[in-house]
Amino acid sequence: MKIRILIILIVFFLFIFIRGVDIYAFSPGDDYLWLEFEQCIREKNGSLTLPLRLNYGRFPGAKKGLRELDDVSVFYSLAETDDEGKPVFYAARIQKDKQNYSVNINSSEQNHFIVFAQAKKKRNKITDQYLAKTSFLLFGHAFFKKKNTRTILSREVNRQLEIRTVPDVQCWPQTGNSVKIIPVFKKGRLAQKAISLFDENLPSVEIMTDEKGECAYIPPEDKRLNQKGEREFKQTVIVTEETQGGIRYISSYTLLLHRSRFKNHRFFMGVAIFLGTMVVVFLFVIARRKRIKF
Amino acid sequence: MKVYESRFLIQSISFAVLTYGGRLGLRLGHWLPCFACPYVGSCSGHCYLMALQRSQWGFQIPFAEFISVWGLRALGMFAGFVLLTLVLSKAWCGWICPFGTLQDWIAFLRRKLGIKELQFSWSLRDRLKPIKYIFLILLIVIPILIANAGLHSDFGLPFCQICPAKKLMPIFQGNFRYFAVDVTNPITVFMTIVSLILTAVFFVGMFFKDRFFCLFCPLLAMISFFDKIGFVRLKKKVDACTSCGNCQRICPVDIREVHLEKEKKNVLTQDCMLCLKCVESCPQDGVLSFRFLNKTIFSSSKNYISKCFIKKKR
Repeated sequence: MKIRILIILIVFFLFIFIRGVDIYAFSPGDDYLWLEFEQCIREKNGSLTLPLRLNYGRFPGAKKGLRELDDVSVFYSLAETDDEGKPVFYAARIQKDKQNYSVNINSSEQNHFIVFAQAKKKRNKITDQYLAKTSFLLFGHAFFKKKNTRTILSREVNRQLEIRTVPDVQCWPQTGNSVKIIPVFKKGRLAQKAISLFDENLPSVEIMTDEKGECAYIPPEDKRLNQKGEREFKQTVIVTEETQGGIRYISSYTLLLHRSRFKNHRFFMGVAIFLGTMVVVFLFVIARRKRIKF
Repeated sequence: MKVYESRFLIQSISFAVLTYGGRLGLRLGHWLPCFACPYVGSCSGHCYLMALQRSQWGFQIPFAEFISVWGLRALGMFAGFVLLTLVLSKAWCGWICPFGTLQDWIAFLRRKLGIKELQFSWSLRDRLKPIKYIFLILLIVIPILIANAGLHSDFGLPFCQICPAKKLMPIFQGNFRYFAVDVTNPITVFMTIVSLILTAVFFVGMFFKDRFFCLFCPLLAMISFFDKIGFVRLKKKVDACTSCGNCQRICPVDIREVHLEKEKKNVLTQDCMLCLKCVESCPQDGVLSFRFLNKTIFSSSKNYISKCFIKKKR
């Protein structure tokens, strides 16, 4: 009897242990940090300001306050490197309004920005380390450029788990164009890693990286987006996680997407309309040019 | 070299430069007063009409932004356009415009095929005249409504969407993609079908009538606003004119004002594209003259006509 109880207890503890590892794996129900694009503002001096909102929770709707997170900071790079080839990061000032955290990225000229937000949250024996990232171009046209007021980031940047995309930036990112997603953990690629994609209008999907540690994602057609104007956009948040040494790294990448420019073009239909009209008009002119007095 | 030969040469060079110059890194700006279509990927300069309709350099900006750098940029672009227009005026149409050149080539083909040109009555011509101004008003008003009154942005660049040059000019770069119907949403379907129908109508029109599209060209309408202050003049010695009517008969856009004008000295009219065929065909010495900054560049003469005639005879 005692042996049976002992076995049951061992199984129970094993179960607890296994579950204990398992509950830290990322699931679509888990929270993460992400950066959300808002409408770009054209400043009177010709520069552009892009407000980016920091969100914590689940994209798109389930947002929680950021107050429960520690060490929230935002920094960005201008796709430039220092003398040693390392990227230069600049600090961005977070504007706090009750539960809303946002940063304004301003550009007086054409720049490629890579923006990161980081935060952490301690819970029991494990720490959640969040990283949110996005990348975009801003085409500012200020007549008088401001002096460089950027502050180089002095504190350590926590980018252990980072989602990279190829291409890393697109002039006009749109649905239908393939994007390669590469999760990088401590400078190494993650093979057979689950990547979750949360879309503003479409159901979330999960894809796995291949042996090379990358996966291709083709943002599908979005009828709701198609109804809007060509300049309107939607966002897709790519999320992945990795746990190591008592720290769970959860990283997100916000992909801004416009509707596809050419995927909905019907060439043969267009040529048929063109040629059909041409023939009709041609015959009309030929038939009537002697009889009709224009 | 005769004027028509010079014109043919300059038109061909302009066509090549404006259509393919981008491949050589040539950038002539977004203010050109001619149909250098921005949809041709290798073009070296852009038609000003596109800039006029855009949010970056044109009217698609909120009223509040008119007094800002964005408004100044639009003004700067307009100033560039005006400057270029003042210098060459309608010569942009007759000597440089690549789409005008294409029309001349199509008309040349018709003549080679022995097909007669379509003749429009004066009343029809007069009825068609306002259409270019309607296009001009729409291409200014629609962007303003998009920026300020919430009109759907798929109506953006309204004239470019229906312009036949958008479909036909990229062909010279091997690009046929603009012949497609865009089924993204009902507005894009409507706009692309309208543009395809208009392109077909204009294409057939261009075949049967010299410079058919120029009758409706809003850029020509804009350029003609500056005729009176431009550096270019088409002068007529009213007293010496014998009213032979050569100028009217030879004009590719059927202008009769040059023939009928009895008072004004400057006979540069709204539809004129300064091809100078009227000056070439005038048999009276110095009756018609093309002037730049009041200096005569070319004037009519018996001698010129006889030279051309003799050469043709031989």
